[in-house]
Amino acid sequence: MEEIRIHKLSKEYYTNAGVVHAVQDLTLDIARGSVFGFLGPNGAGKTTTMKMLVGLAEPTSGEITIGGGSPMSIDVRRHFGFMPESPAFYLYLTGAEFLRFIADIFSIPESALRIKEVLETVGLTGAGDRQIRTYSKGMLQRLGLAQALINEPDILFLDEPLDGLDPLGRAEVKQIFIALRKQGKTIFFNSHILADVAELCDSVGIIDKGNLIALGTPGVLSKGYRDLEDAFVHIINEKRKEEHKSENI
Amino acid sequence: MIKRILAIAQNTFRETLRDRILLSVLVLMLGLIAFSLFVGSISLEQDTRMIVDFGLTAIYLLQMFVAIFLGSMLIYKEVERKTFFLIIPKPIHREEIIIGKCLGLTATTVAVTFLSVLALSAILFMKGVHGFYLPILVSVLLSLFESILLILLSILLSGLTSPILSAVYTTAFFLIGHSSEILRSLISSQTSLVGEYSLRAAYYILPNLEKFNIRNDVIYATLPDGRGIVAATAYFLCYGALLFLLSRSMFAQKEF
Repeated sequence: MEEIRIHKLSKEYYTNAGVVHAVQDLTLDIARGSVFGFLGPNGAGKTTTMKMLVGLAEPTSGEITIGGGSPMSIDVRRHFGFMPESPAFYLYLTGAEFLRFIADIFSIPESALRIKEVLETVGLTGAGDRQIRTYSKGMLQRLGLAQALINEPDILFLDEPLDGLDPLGRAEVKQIFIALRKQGKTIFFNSHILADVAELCDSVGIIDKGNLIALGTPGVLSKGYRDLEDAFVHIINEKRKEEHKSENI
Repeated sequence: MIKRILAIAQNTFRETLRDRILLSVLVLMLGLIAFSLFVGSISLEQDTRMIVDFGLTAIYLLQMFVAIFLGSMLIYKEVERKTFFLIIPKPIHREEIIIGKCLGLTATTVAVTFLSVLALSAILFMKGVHGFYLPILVSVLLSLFESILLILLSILLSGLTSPILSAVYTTAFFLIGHSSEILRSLISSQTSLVGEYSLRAAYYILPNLEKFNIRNDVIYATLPDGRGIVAATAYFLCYGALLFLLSRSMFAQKEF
């Protein structure tokens, strides 16, 4: 059964230079309990897509269904967690205070216990009482993940979740992903670290200039190439060459 | 819904109260209230009036600082620093965020107002002056209404422009809001119909903040007519509702 359905999704921005097509006719179905990696170069439309999926931006056209409902619905939002790229926090709060604030929005009963659990899950035990302004980048990433997990979501949207983590931190977060997948959670994530994507994802989509140009399992996409990174570079370059040719014609 | 609003309000209150700029301004204003003792001592038998006048002005300036400057930073900072990215996708309506933000900042204003009133009352008590407490409380309550309107206005403007411009525009509204009488005299002196109707429209659209100013009565330990206070309260409720609806509409359409 599909947990996330994206149908002919487009997003246009109007600027002084003209219309920017950030995402064009994107169609994707992501099965329940699977891990989907969304890849693309900078400015390809990954974050814009993520923003539309979680209700931060409205699509210009097309439809998004998450767990059978619209991402704008309060009921649907109770069931997903979102971690933005380089999450920003209220710096004068402590980590635990911030999580308490998020738990209150979700009306989580016995939130103190849940806060303790998620702090432990992301490896921030002992740092909950420190003001967030004293956190390192890696700790901020972990807190970002903790707030996305606090409501025990069925679906997770994670924008560059491994960014800013040292190899040890990355290994720990990957273990969390594996545990979440075992629990049957659906994970949609953007990443530049292709080795991790290949290791964690059931399926992968590659987007360039707002268009989905490849979709499949990491194994299928990497076939004939050294690895997923090699496949990614070739797929994008070939697509751009084709476009260049057709423009010249 | 209430729990979500209170969560936003509590968070805003906590965050603004820990802001060092607010602490500095609070200390400055408390210093100004204490300074009123000196000013009172060198005035010719006007010491009580000087203390009340200085004290009320300091409290008023503090309230306006919170409303205009912290209010202008409120939404912009969330958008600029992207803290909203963690809040908007949660199960919360955008209008709940506006109400919560406004309530939180109002709570901050109430907290700093309470401390300042306490300082002023302590000075008056030590000087053995009584009879000012009720007028001071009513005056401070009315200026709190004014600051809530400015908080809503700065929330509305900070969603549309940068915090500096928002603070400039809110300050402009604040100054115009205290110049309604000038506007009224300009209307009566107009000879062209277009000019008259344009000024009349501006007079009704722009806030009339002088309705909340009874400080001149308070320094004589008197209270103005009760009907004036009721009218000011009704005006606050209507204008506040209008600003809230405009902020809600702005915020509903905002993309991040």
